[in-house]
Amino acid sequence: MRKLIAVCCALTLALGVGAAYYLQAPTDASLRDMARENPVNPRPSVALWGSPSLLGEMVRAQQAQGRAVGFLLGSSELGQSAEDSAHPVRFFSENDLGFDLISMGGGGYQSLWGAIEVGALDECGALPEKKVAFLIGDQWFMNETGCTPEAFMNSFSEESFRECMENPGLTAETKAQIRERVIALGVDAQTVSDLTDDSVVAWANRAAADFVSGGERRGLLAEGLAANGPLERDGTSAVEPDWDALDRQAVAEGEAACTNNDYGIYDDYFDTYVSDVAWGQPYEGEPFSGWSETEFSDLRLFLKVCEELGITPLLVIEPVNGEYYDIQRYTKESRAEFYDKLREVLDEAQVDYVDLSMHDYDKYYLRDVMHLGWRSWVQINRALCEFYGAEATDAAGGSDGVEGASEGDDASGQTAAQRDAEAAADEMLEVEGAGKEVVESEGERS
Amino acid sequence: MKWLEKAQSWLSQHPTVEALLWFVTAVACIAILVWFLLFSGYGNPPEFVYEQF
Repeated sequence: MRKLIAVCCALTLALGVGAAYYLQAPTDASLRDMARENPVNPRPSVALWGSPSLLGEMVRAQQAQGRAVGFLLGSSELGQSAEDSAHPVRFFSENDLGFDLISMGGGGYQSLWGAIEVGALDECGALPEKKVAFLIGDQWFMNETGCTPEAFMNSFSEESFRECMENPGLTAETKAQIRERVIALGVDAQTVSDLTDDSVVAWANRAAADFVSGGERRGLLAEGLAANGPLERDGTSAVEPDWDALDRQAVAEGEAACTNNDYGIYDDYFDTYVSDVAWGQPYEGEPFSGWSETEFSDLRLFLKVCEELGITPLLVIEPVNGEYYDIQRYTKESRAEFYDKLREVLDEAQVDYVDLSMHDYDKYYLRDVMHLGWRSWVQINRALCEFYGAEATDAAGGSDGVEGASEGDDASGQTAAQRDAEAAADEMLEVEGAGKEVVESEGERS
Repeated sequence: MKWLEKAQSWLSQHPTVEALLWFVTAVACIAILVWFLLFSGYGNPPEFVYEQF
């Protein structure tokens, strides 16, 4: 009997410690309060990328004060901003361009993550202007299988996936495609079922999972929100950038960072990774031709999600360091095939894009062999200002900064001013052909 | 195995100590289970190594 009592005491102690651990974690309500009180962060923590509901709270809090917010989704290029004043994380936080930009994504975050994230952000009301900007990484397509399970599992968020699956704007077919890809890339089928099913069993599984790991997750979210700041800008300090001057500054910063090579690669990177490669010796084997059809399919899925939800995407075709890749199997001819295919996919979807692919051989458009740098960022920032800036003007219009949001709404929820701004932006953007190029490149002008 | 018999005999004469040992053993087993499920990394996805430096 005493032994039974002893074991029961041990179980009780364990349950008590577990309950205390669970209860000490921040609650969902307290996290939402934190997000509303301090809604500004140009580069939220990784934990927040996976919480579209809190991102939605941040956006709504800023919108309530007349401040427009735009999202820039991408991968590893967004994580490197220190010495580059044109990097969007720095640029839009150091300069008031009339709207706030939230940049999300890291290494391995690719098209499928983008599709899920857009679906989730829209469901949580984080995309009120129905716009999103997306940086397409060429390296995503260099692996014939596209996104790897390791990369995808690093980016997968259960909350984002669930919110995406709950978005009524997505068709059953699109949701099934997303589920299929998610399972193919390593998420357990039972987990997918628990996240998409509304049965009692699925609810119980979710509750159990939340009891086990929810405390830690909410702790990480609280840490992320603690790094946020209050909204201090009201649009009165908005500046009109001198893009030519910014480009000259970008060149100067690039020159200062790349002193030990002629390839426009910043010094540390060149010394560490590529100083001993066969520069100048063109690849003589069979050029790479296996650009990933799987990744193209995921990109089409991203575009389909945008189309079904009425979201206007702005995509960016990134260049690579041409001289570096010419000595690999990703030769100029191979890359031309890729860029043509990518433009074809985007033109078919009739979406706007910034095409920087002609800068493979121009210095300071990349900071190394693959990550955007200096001059690319200036062009992208300009495109982002044109893309998001019109909505920002409308959102901040009027003496109290919130008039534009509710007057004269039509059936789609747009105000007359928003429609006018969109029409003006379309006129500004439209060029010959099915696709639209937002920014004319320096190369084409010269 | 005389020592085992001696130990069992001693414990049967000290039921409180025996119960305490059961308590400690149960707590240890639960702690190992919790560590395995929550903190050991079991079931976590493989670490993503960014191959493209």
